[in-house]
Amino acid sequence: MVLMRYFMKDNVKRFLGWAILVILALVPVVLLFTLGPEALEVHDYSSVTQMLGEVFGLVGMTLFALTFMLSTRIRFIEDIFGGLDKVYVVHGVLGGTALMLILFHPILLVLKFIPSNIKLAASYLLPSSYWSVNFGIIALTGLILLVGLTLYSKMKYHKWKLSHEFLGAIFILAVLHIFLVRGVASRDNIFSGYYLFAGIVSFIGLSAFSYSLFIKDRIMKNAVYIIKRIEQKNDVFIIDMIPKHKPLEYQSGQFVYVRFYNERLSREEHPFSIASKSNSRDLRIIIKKLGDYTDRLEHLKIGDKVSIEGPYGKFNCDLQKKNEEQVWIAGGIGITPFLGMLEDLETCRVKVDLYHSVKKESDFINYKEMEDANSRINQFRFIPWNSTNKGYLTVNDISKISGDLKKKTFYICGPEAFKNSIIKGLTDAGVDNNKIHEEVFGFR
Amino acid sequence: MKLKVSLATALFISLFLVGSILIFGYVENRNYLIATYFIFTLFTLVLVAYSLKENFNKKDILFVFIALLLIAGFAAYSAEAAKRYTDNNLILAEQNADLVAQLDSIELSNQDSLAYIDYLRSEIIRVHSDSLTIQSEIDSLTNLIQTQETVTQPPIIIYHEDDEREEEDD
Repeated sequence: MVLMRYFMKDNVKRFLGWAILVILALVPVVLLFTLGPEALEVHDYSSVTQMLGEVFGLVGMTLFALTFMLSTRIRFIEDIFGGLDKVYVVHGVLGGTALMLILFHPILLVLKFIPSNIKLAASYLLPSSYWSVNFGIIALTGLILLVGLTLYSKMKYHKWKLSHEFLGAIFILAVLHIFLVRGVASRDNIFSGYYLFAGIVSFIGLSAFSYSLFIKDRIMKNAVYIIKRIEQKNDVFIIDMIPKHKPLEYQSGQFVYVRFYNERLSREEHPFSIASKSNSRDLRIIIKKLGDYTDRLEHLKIGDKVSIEGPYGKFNCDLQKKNEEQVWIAGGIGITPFLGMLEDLETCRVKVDLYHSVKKESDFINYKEMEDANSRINQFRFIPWNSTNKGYLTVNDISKISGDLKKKTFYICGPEAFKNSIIKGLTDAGVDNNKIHEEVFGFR
Repeated sequence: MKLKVSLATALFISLFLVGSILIFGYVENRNYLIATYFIFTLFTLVLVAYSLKENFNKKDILFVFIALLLIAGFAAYSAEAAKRYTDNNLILAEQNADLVAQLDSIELSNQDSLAYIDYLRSEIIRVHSDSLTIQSEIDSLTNLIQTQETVTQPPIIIYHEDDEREEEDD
C-alpha cells in the first residue's frame, strides 16, 4: 500500500527514480538473453530452471548493490524519490526483494539435478572444495541473518547500524561468487557482457558502501551548533541551538541528522524533524523519549556541541499558493514538522486546519503557543484531539470540522498505523493521491 | 508490514526446500522430512506471528494460509518425486561403480593419461547424469592406450569444449 501511494503520486521525478531502478534490475535479464549464448536455448526443464536461477541471482545482486546506493544520502537520489524518508522506504523494499530473489537462486540452480540425482543437488547446497560456490553460500547465510535481524528484532540503534555495516562484507563475498562461479551467464569469455555487468554492479555496490562508511563523514562538512536552551516537558525535550559558524539553510518541515557531543551520550547520529521557522538562525528540534538513546538525552546540557547533517526531506507545504486550503494532521510527536511550518504561515495566505491527535492531555506539545496562533492568525485553526476522550481521529471527524475534503491538500505526520488509517480514509473518501503528502516517520 | 510477511514466507519456503533437498539427498530415513516440515512450519509461524503482532488482520492471515497451503502441496509433491526417483538413483549408482572399476583397470602409460583419468573419475562422482558420455570417453581412452606404446599428449579430440578450458586453467 505504501509503495502504491508513492507510485501514484504526481511528480515525474519519483517515477524517474523507480524507472531507473527497474531498468537497472532488468539489465541482467536482457544480457542473459542477448549475450549468454546457451541461455537462448531454453528448451527443457533443466535449462529453464538453470536460466531462472541465474536471472534470480543476477537481479538480486543488482538490487543488493542498489540498496547501498540508496543509503548514501546523495541529493540526486533524494530528489528523484521525493525525500530521504521515501528513499529509505525504497531501500528497505529493495533489500527485502533482493533477499527474496537471492534465496531462490541456489534452489532453482539445483532443481535440474533433482529428477535424476537428488544427492548431487544436495551436495551443491553445502560447502565443498569449490570456493567459488562457498563464497555464495557464506554470503547468502550472512544476508539471511543480517536482514532477519534488521527486520525481526528490535535491537538498539548502534547494534542495528553495526549489523548493517557487515552487509558490506557480505556484498564482497557475493562479488567474489559472481566473478568466480561458472554458469550459463558467465561461460562466455572474460570480455563478455556478463563480466562487464558484474563489474558495474560490484562497482556500484562497493563504491556506495565505501562512500557511506568511510568517505561521507570526511568530505561532508556538517553544520556545528551549540545548545542554547533545553526544556523538558514530561517525556519531551525541546532543544534550541545556535550556529557556531554558518547557519544551516533549510525549509520548515525538513529533518536533519543530529549528533550530540556529550560525554554521557554515544556519538551515533539520529534523524529529527526541524521545529523552527525556515532558514531561521537558531535551530529547534523536539525529541520524545522513545528508547535507549532518547532516554539518555536528559544528560544534555547548555553549551554542548551538536553536529548537524542535512537538511533532508521534502515535507514542506507550498505556502505561497494563495487561498489554498490545507489540512495538517499530526499524531503525537508527529507535530514537530508542523511547528516550524506554522511559524512560516504567519506571512502566507494559505488557509490551514491543524489537527493534533494525542492519547492524553499531557502529550500536547506547545499547546499554549498553538492556542495563541489560533487566535492571532486569521487563516489558521487549531483542532486539538484527545483520543482518550473523543475516540480515534477519523476522516469522518475531519470532514465534519473542515468541510469538503476533495478541495483540500493534506499533510500527515505521525505513527505508521495512525498515518495509514487517515490516508486510507482519505483515499476512500475520494481525495486525489496527489493531494496527500506524508512524512515517513520513525525510519532508522 | 507486507514486506515483512512476504520475506518471512519466502524465507520459510526457501529454507523448507533446502531442508527437503538435503534430507532427500543425505538422509536414508524419509520420516525426517516430516519432522523438518513441522519444524520449519513452526519456525515460520513464530516469525510471521511476531512480525504481524502489531497489525494482525484477515488479509494477512489469508496470505499466510495460502502460502502454507502451497508449501504443503510442494512437500507432498517432493515426497512423491523422491520416491519415484530413488530406484533410478540406485541404478545410476551401480553404473557409476562399474565405471570407476573400469577406470581402475586401465593401465596407465604416462602422467597425462593419469591426469585425464583422474578428471574422468571426479566427473563420474560429480555428475551422474553424464554417465553415458563418460563411458564413451573411457572406451576411447582405453583404445588409445591399447594401440599406442606411449601417449605423449592427452587425447584432446575427445574432449568437450569445457574440458579444454579446465585443462587450460590448470
